Order: sequence, then structure tokens, then C-alpha cells
Amino acid sequence: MKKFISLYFTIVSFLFAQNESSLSGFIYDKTTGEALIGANVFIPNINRGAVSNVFGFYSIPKIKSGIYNVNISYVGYKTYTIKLDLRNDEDKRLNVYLEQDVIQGKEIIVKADSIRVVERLFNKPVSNIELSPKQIQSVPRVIEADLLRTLQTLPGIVPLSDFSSAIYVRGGTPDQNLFMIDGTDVYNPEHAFGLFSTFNTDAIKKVEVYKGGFGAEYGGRLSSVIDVTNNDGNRNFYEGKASLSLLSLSSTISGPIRNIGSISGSIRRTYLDQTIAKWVDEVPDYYFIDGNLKAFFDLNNSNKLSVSYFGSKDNLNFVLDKKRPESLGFDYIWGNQTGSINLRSIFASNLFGNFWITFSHFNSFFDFDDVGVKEDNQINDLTFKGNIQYFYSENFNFKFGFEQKNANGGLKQDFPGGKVDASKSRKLFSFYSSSVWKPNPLWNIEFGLRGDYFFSDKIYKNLDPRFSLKYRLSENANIKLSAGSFHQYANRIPRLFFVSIWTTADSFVRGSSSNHFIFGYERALGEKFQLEFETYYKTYKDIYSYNQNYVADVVPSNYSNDNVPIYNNQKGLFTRGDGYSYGIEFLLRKETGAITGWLSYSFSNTYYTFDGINQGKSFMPRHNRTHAINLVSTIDLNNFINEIKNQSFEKRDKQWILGLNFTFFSGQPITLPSSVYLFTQFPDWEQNKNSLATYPSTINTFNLPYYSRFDFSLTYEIDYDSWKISPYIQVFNLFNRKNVWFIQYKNEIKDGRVKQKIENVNMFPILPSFGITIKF
Amino acid sequence: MKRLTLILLSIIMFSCGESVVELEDTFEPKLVIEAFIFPNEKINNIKITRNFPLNTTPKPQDLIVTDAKVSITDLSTMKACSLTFNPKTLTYEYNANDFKIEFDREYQLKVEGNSYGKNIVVTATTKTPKKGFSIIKEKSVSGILSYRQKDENGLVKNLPLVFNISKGTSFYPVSIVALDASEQNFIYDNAYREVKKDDVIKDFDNYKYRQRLIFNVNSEGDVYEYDITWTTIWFYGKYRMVVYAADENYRQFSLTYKNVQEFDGNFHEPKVTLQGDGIGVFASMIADTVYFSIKR
Repeated sequence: MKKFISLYFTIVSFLFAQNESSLSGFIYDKTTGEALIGANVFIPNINRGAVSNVFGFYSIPKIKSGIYNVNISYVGYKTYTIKLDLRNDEDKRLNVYLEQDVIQGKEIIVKADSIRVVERLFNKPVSNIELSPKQIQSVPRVIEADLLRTLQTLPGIVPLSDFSSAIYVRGGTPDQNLFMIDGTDVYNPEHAFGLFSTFNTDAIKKVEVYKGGFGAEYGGRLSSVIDVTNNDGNRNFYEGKASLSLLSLSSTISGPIRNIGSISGSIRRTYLDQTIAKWVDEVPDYYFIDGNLKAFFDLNNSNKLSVSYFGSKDNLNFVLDKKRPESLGFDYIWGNQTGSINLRSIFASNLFGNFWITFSHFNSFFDFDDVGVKEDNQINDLTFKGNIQYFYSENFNFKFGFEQKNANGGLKQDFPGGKVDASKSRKLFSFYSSSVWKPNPLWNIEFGLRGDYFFSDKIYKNLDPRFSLKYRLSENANIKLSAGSFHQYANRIPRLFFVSIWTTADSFVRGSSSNHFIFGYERALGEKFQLEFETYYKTYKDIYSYNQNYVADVVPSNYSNDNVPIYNNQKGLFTRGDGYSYGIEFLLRKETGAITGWLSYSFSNTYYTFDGINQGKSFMPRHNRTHAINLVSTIDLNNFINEIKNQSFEKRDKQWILGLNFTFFSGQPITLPSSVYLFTQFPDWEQNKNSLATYPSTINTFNLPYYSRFDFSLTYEIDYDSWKISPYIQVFNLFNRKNVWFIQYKNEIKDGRVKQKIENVNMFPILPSFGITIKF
Repeated sequence: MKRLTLILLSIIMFSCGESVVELEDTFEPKLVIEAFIFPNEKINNIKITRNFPLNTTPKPQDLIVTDAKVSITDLSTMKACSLTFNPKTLTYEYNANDFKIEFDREYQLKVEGNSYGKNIVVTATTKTPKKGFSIIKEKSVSGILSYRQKDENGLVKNLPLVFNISKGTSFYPVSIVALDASEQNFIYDNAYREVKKDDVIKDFDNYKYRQRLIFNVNSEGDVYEYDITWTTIWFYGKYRMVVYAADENYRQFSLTYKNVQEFDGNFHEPKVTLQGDGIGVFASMIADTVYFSIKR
């Protein structure tokens, strides 16, 4: 198969070849041997270049014969220049090891690379934001560094509340986000009932976020892609990191596997169950653990293999009263296991292939024997996928790919008076093709097409066109445009306390679709700042929201011999709807120097129309945040003044790093009650203090007050020999603002009168925490 | 520097303090209907009240609508009866013998009343369950039991409930009331958790009035068996357990009207089958009762 692909593209190349050479290879970090993503290879004489992909691979095809200086650069690394003789009509392979430009030994001071900011913006896809682990870790956080909470500080991405790490991207709901670790889909990436995400930031190499308009290689979700690449591991020597926070202990270690590759592993575990829960009866026995393992092998100069594993587990053993042996209690265990095998092959200098076998398993198990409730909720996803990147010429690149997903599982539940058995098998076949056309250095146009064939008890076939364009408007500015269609065949049922259940499109629930239209402008402000502006319009068709009254609407599929209902399908579980979102986003970002960070503003509105809700009239969903402002900054205090005065930075073994985060959101819409009424549930009951109920007003017409918060962190970094010790303190919500989450109403009849208690339920108060990180 | 100071001051100003929620008046007057009819029984105990605005503390008796026009029509014969208000029970009833509620028949309720100056008309239709529902007493909990009684293997025996299904009816709500409920009779040495006397007083009605909602039972089946767990029992003494074979109206309303606040605080509407500006239910049901006692 590989030979056939290689032969086919070689023939095509040969037919069009004219005394031309090509240059390709990988770009690595010299110290660790890690592949560098997004590094620039540039030949100034002919104004040709390429950017390394997620595997560090680059290719510049069809270079006219000549001797050229080639610059290879990457942000934070010394630029490498080499003179190459490309006169022999050859496919030149050049692997480059870039040296970190650690000015005076301080990683935090990141120097700009030699490629201009505007070029980097031009090479970046529309609505794409890249984050490094350093950027994720430098944002002040709730106890632990958390990927999803960092994403909540970006324009167009908002949370529902402090209590959830779930993200709502440009009006879309969390189930419309595709989470991937090393090419594998991750379902329910949440620890501690959604408080934290499962991504261990110590293991992350790079995060790419697509807020919309993503390319044809991504599918299956309507709103966004969060593509996480974990560290391959250090190929030169062993290194490690250990962290202790108020929540968990974690450790990461990586090193070479002889001279053929590398291995990297990390593990994190909370310890409250081993400490406080042993001394305080009210604290339940709960812990979570997660770990990553990734091995990378250089099979030969053209073939690289990586094997990746990620596992997480949350374990809650709850006993209502630990002093009573027969007290009510339950076990609740959930977690993810994902694995992938990835082969990257260079078939020819202009032909790069990528093939995966991935497996993703999510399971939650709940056992509350005392009340007869037992639940087993599973998803198993075995996927085969691959793509070929063909760097045809200076003007054309192509990508072809396929994906075959085999998913099974579902909810099985036994409860008094019913059984649920919704386990199913589903298949999704997808193919895609995209081509990048650069008619001249001012234009970058990408066309793509993705086809899906989804197979459940009903077949869904869809073709999704994708298009994006970038144009160099001036020396310092680009404009950008993107549009596309997107389909989704999976829906998530959010549940209080319990982890979400995933279901798929079938004869009761249609596949969802969305169209994105994005227009933007980006500008380099000097060589330090980048300004991005994007406006978007997004439609939704056949989206599904959990039917809050499903218990009255759900219909049994059949009955057991003892007349107990059995539920095999999702009829009545969801409410169907349509909708649209629109918005404007500004992002001012600085990635280099002693002060780094971003300032963002977004304006957005989302409207839904759901069958049977609000008499079919449109309304804003609860997660709508019309205005959002974020200011995130990391400041190297030792060199802060030097940067302002434009002086060179000083070398110090001890360094103070300040992290700041200011968040402002305008108030969320909420539905409040309009009145209270008397109703006694059973005819044989006397009126009692609970004979009261509330009746809602029109959906989401009330706006809560604005949300605002200021977080702060201070880290002291000490270099000692080859060790780096970094104790830190951080304070979430430094000024203890009382942000309202919702309003709680309690009604009762007491002393012959109705008594009402209306109180605000607030988000997190001030949350100080501290910890230490040791690198060795 | 001045600009930086100004920005910092603005950030601090926005990031401290407390959100002030100013609730808007979204009150809409409605009539609240609590109307249950039973085959072969007289029509009585029909309650018509008004809803009331948030942040008010009315007396329950002040909410009763005493001058409503209430009628029930047998839709198969179109014979109607007008209900009268009984000032002793504060409910509407029909005392004559010329109107009888039958099994498996459709009835319509019509209420015309005034709520805060607004004339409101509410209508609803119910179909009474078919004959056939009854608790099978010999197989169900009865007599005097020890708290969390155990079987010969030492396992706790739940409280059995077995009943004959009414054909076409899938909803069987169960009301369990502790008739001797008092602070003294509370089971303080219960198996589940420590409850202090103050908590018993505070949550007395929660412990006294218990329920189970059995829904989506095979309505074409014959017999249904259900185990009531001991988490329902919080007092020593006598209990009344009433099982209802209830209609679709009651199924929809009773399964949803108490769960109108979602976990993120948002409210949503319950399932109401009334037409017009009404909240509540017009339901038909068959009831059967068993009694049992829990000894100390």
C-alpha cells in the first residue's frame, strides 16, 4: 500500500518536474530531541518557505536549482542558517536541531524568532489559537493548572460557572467540542464532577484550539476542536518534574530509549482521601488519578512510530454516616482510557503520511445498592484513520484522509421500577480532501471537502465543504475568511452529579449540522504584539438539548415479564431545536519578552428555538455572555523594568514571576420564577409545609449581574545546579467578589403563613492556594 | 503610568464587592387547580386557589377562591354538574346523587374565576382509569413489623407492594403517611444517619409524608410487584399507604411540578395539561389503601 502511494505520487511529480529540487525534513529541539511544531523554514532569495507540522515535518517542493541560504527559526530558539546546494535535481533531506535561546538561562523570557509576526499570523489557520504548556501553567488557576480553565480566558470561549471546566465556544455547547489527545477522541474530559479537566498540563507539548471554520481533517463536532499533543519525551537525557499542590501530587519523567527514540510518562493523584478524609467524617473518600505514557521510535530516517496511552479514574466511595455500619452509601467510579499507535512516513520529500489506530474508552459505574440503583455507562471507540500530505509545488499542497470509527456502548441502568439498556453499536466512515493554493505570496486559499457516512438504525450521509482564505493586505496586516459546513452525530446528556451520557443520532434523534462564516483582520503591531479581530456568524440545525421533563415523556421500548419498563431508545430524552450565534472578537497578544499574555474582548449572542419551549419563540441560552473581557499576563519581575526601558535582560538564578488574570463577563440570562402556588401532592395528604411550588416566568428573560474576578499568582524560581525549584502562591478571586451563580428560592408554610427565603448562590469566594514544582 | 494606574483601579473596582440582584416583577395571575375525581365516589375536595407573587407572605386561606364557577361534564352523555363551595372544607363539591363518576369515561372540568382582578377560564379533560386496580393485600406489607426486619439469611427485607394493574394505566403513585408521626416516635437510632431533634422539627413534614412514583408500568400486564425500601420509614407507629392508579394528567404534572429548578439554577415549566391561565391538575384516579405499623 505504502509503495503504491509512493509510486503514484512520484509519477505525478515526475510528470511535472523541471530541473527542480526539494527540501524536506524534521525540526527538533536540540536539547530534548522533541519535534518542534510550527517552526519556520524560509529561503529568502526566492521567498519560499514552509512551516513544520504537528510532527515537526516540513517540505518545500520544486525549488529551482541554485545555492541558497536557508533560515530555520522558531519562537524562543536561535535561528539556524545553512547554505545549501540544490543544483542536482535532488530531494534534499535536512533535519535541523534548534538550540533554545534561553537568554541568561531564563526560559520565561522568550525572544522573538526571526520570522516576522505578520508571517506567523499569515501561516496560522483562521480562528486558531495555539497554547504552550508554559502559557497554560502561567495563568493563575483554581488550585491546579488546568487546560480548559485556561481556554476560558480566550475570546469566544466562556464557562457556565466557576464550578465547571466545561467550555462554550462561540455559542456552542460543550458536547460540540472535539477533544483529542495525540489523535484520539476523548469523551467526558472531566475530573471531580467537572471541576477540573483530565488533561495533565505537565504532559502537554502543544494545544491547538480551533474556535470555528476548522479544516476538512476535523469532523464530528459542530463548534470547535481542542487538539492536544503530548510530549514525545527527551531523546538525549533523562529529565523530570514533580509538583505538589493543595489538591494533588504529580510527576513527569522522560528520557531516551537507547538511540532509537524516547519515552515520556506522567502521573497525578489527589490525596485528600489519604489525609483529610481520614480525619474528618464529613469528607467523602474521593480521589482522582490520571497518567500518560508516550513512546517515540525513529524506525529509520523516513518512518517514525509513536505509541501513546492516557488513563484517568475518579473514585468516590460515599457513606452518608461513617459511624453507622448500615448507613446509606454508594460507589461511583468513572474514567477514560485512550491509546493510539501512530506511524508517520515520508514516502518522498514531498509526500508525508500519517496513520493511526486509536482506542478511546470511557466508563462510569455507579452502585447504590441500598436503593436498588446500579448504572454502567460505557463508550468504546476504535478508530482507524490516516492522511497523506502531498506538497506538490510552490502553489499547491494537498491532503487526503480517511477515518473509520467503530463506537459501541451506552447506558445500562437498573432502578426500582425500570431498566435502561441503551447500548448500541455505531459506525462512522469519513473521508476528506483539502488543497492549499498559494497563487502568489499574498494569497493562501484552502478548499476542503469532508464526507460522512454514519450508520446506526438509520443512515446519515453528508458532504461538508470547507473553505478558508488569507490575504496579505499590507506589510503588517492580513485579512482572513472562512466558511464551512459541519455535522455531528453524538449528543451528550448532562446530569447533575452524574457524569454525562453520550448518545448518537438514530431514528429518533437526527444528526446535527452547523454552518460557520468567519471574517477577520490581523495585524502585527511592531514585532512584539499581534492583534486579531474576527467576526462570525454560525447557524445550528437539529441540535438537541436534554428534555428537563423527560421523566414524563420517556417511553418504554418493551417490558420485562414482571411488567417493569425497559428503555432501549432515546425517544423523549431530547428536545430538538435550531439556532444561531454571532459575534465579534478582539485579541491583542504578546508572546515574547518579560511581559507576555493577552487582552481580549468578545461580543456574542446566541439564540435558540426549541420545539415545545417558549411557544417555539427564540430565546438566549443560559450560557450566553454578550460581553467578555480577559486580561492574562505573566510578568518576569526581574526584567520588567528592563523591558519597559528597552534594556537587555539580566541573568539571575533567582527570579520572581507574577501571573495576573482579570475576567469580566456581562450577566447571563436566567429563568426565574414568576409566582408561587399551593399544591398538595396527594389527595390523602393534609396541606403541609411543603405544599408549595414555584412557577417559572418566560425562559431566560432575566439577566444576572455581571461576573468579574481578579486572580493572582506569584512564583519564585530558583536555579540550583541542574535543578529548578519553583514554590508558588496563588489567589483565585483575590478581591473576594461575590458573583451570583443563581438564585435559590425556599418556600414553606409556617405558623399559618407562607414564608419565603430568597438567597443568592454565589460562585467561588477567594481561594488561596500554594504549591511547589521541582524540575530535575 | 497614569493610564496603568487607572486600568488597575478599574480592575480592582470591578473585581470586588457583591453582585446585586434586582428582581423584576414577572408575576402573572393564575388559578391553581387541585381537582381529583374517583370512579364511584362523590365529587368533593376540589381546591381552587390563586398563585401569589414572590417576596410575599400570604396566609394560605387568603388564597382560596371562594366564588369560582366550577362544573364537571360527562363528555359521553354531556351531562354537567355545577359544584358548590363548602365554607367548612374550603373546597368545591357536588352532593346530589344524580351525577356519578364512572370508570373509563371522559370528563371535563371548567373553572371560571377571578385572580387579582383578572377573569380566568380554565378547562381540562381527564379519562378515568379502567376498573381492575387493587392492592393484593395478602402479598403486600401489612400488620406489625419490626424496623428493618430481616429474613432468615439476615438480610433486610424491604416492604412489599403488589397490586393488580388497571388496563391502560401505567402510572401508580404511592403515598405513605406516618399517622403517629411525632418527635418522640422518630427513629433516632435509624440505620442511615444521625438526626437530631431540632432537625426532626425542622423537616417534620419531609419525614412524615413520603412517596414513591411508579411510572411506565406495563399497562397491559396483570400484576406488578414493587419493593419499598426502609428509607421511606422514619417513625415508629402506624402508617397509611395509599396507592393510586392515576391518569395521564396526574402523571405528567406530578412527575414534573416539583423539579422545575435545574442544577445551574434555571427554572423550566412543569407539564401542565390545563387549558387557560391555570396551574395544577384535573386528574382521575382509583385509590386503594393498606395500613401497617412499625413497632419499637
